[in-house]
Amino acid sequence: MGEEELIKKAISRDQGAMEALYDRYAPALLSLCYRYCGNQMDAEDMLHDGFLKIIGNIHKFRILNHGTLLNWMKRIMVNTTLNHLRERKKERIFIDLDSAEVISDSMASEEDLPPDLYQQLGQEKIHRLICDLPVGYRTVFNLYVFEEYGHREIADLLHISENTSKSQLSKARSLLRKKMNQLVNIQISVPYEKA
Amino acid sequence: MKRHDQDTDEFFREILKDHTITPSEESRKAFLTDVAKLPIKKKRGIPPLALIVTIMFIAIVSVVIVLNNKPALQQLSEGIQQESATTGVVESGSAGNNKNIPTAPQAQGKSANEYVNPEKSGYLPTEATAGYFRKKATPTPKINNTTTSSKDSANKVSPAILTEEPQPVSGISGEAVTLSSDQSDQALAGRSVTSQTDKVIRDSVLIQPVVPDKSADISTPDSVTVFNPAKSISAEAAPPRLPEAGTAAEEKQRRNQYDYKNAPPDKGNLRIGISYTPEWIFNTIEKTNFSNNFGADLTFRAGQYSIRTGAGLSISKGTNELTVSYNDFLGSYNKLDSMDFSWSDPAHNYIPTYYMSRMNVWDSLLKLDYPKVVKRYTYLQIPLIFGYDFMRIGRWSLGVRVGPLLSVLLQTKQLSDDYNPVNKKVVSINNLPPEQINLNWQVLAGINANFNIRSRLNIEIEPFVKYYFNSVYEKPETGFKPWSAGIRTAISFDL
Repeated sequence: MGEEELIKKAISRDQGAMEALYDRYAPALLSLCYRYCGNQMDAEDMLHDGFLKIIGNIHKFRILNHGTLLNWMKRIMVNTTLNHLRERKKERIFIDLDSAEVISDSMASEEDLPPDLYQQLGQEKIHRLICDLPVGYRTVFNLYVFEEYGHREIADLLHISENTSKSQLSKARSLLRKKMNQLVNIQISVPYEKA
Repeated sequence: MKRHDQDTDEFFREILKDHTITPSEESRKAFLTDVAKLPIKKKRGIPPLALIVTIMFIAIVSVVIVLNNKPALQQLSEGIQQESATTGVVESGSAGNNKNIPTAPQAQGKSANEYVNPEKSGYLPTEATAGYFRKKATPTPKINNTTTSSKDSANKVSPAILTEEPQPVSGISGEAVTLSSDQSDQALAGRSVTSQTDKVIRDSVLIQPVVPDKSADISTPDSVTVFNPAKSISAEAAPPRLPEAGTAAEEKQRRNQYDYKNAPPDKGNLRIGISYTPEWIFNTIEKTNFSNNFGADLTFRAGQYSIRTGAGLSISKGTNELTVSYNDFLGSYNKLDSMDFSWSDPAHNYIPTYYMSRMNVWDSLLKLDYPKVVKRYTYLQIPLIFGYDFMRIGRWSLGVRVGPLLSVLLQTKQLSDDYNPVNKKVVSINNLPPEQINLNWQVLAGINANFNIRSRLNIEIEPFVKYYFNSVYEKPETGFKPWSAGIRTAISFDL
């Protein structure tokens, strides 16, 4: 079934169409939610609420205004995820600069390894590394790198200053680089063992 | 905002662009169950607020139309209230069958001076009875079988025709003439008087039937003429002549007095006023916000166009949420700082002296608290509203108003108390909602209804909607700008 046909049927609440939409787009959206919240259970909750919003507002989708359907869905999912993080009040989206400084002090400067070595780590490990970042770093990093927001937009979304957004992104990158370097070094240092 | 992307960013985007995680079967089933309960979205109807504004607009226009017809209605009622010396005019042969035409009092048994008060009798002058009226101010043709006691009724036409008091009116020859019921029957012979053919003669001020000459052709409606009692009066005593009803040119002239297009162009004038505007702001962090706006306006008017500016204060309340990171207070203990020993001779012993200090203990677990702080924001509003009045009827005028407004934050005052941690140890306090920005622009569109109470005093009612280009009251997740609606009420004075 084509995308347009799916949308039309979903507007009229055709069960098959809604099921098809979920099966087609839920895996990518769950990966997005997982990157924001860090664990599968919360991610599935966010996916559930976000997808309900998507189906509820699918009649408003216009290709000319909103781009592709997946991009439109991702925007809704990001907003839903941020709302969840705010409302649950388990973790704050921002972190104090003081504690951030402490973390930064413990990070030694690392040199970048060649990117092809990072490729060895694979999708799952890199995805896991992002999910393991502190929540403030993780949120800013996801919004900047994957959603391609600017610092000003991130500051408006998260109610922080632009400078905080920049510093958290910088620290997120450093932390990720350090962890990836550690993983790569571990992989390099483990000798190949014959089966 | 320039993005300074790094290679690592590109690397992450590439490696994870098609990363997927399959949802669990439980979550899939839960979603499909919940999504089946979603209602089908109907086509977006008219928002409730737009409906309210539309209803108000229709109500204002209806009031304007009713007031527009008020002069005509007043004239009609005046005409009805005027006295007529008619008797038995409306009586028709089939009066008993036609209940819509009330029967005038019978002439018989009544003096010729007696007139029929249409208001009391419910009789209205109609086309059916127009044959009894003469238009030309010519001597009354000899009337055979005139009524009795005409000589006794030397009533003269008085200027009171135009007053509300019914007055007896003399005929052309200075004599009152009345019809007997038999004569009225004869006059009406051949004519069917029905309610369907009746037509109210608007400008009839007086009902004065006269018996037509027998030679006069009254059998057809074409010969019906209207009696204008004003013409029968001598020139000196003649009251001001009313424009004759039904004349197209006169009617047009009367209408033109109230028509913007044909009215003489107004000279520009200034108008000052004060206003109060309750305003409801939607699509904000606090869902809906209410603000009170007070203003002083200066309007320059030139014909149908106007420009309004001024200054005003906008006062609203807002709630800020703080995030307080703290450690719980667990208790306190006395900490021994130092000891001192001194020899006591009598006791032959050292007596210790302990120096203590009170130490508080807080939990190491970081907790969060979310107190709310209520603040009052005062803005200075400077409007520049362009207006065009497209309708003016009598004292009412109706027009559209469009223009920008600038709001400048003057003062922020905290109304609630500061956060009191008591004995908790505060680690940090952060402000969750965005800070209030100092400047924002809005654009307003509304409909203005103006009523001129007295010569220079006016009242205005102006429902409007406003769109905020850049406001503190934003709901970031929706991505939409806030908007508001309100009703401006003002009293103004023409300089």
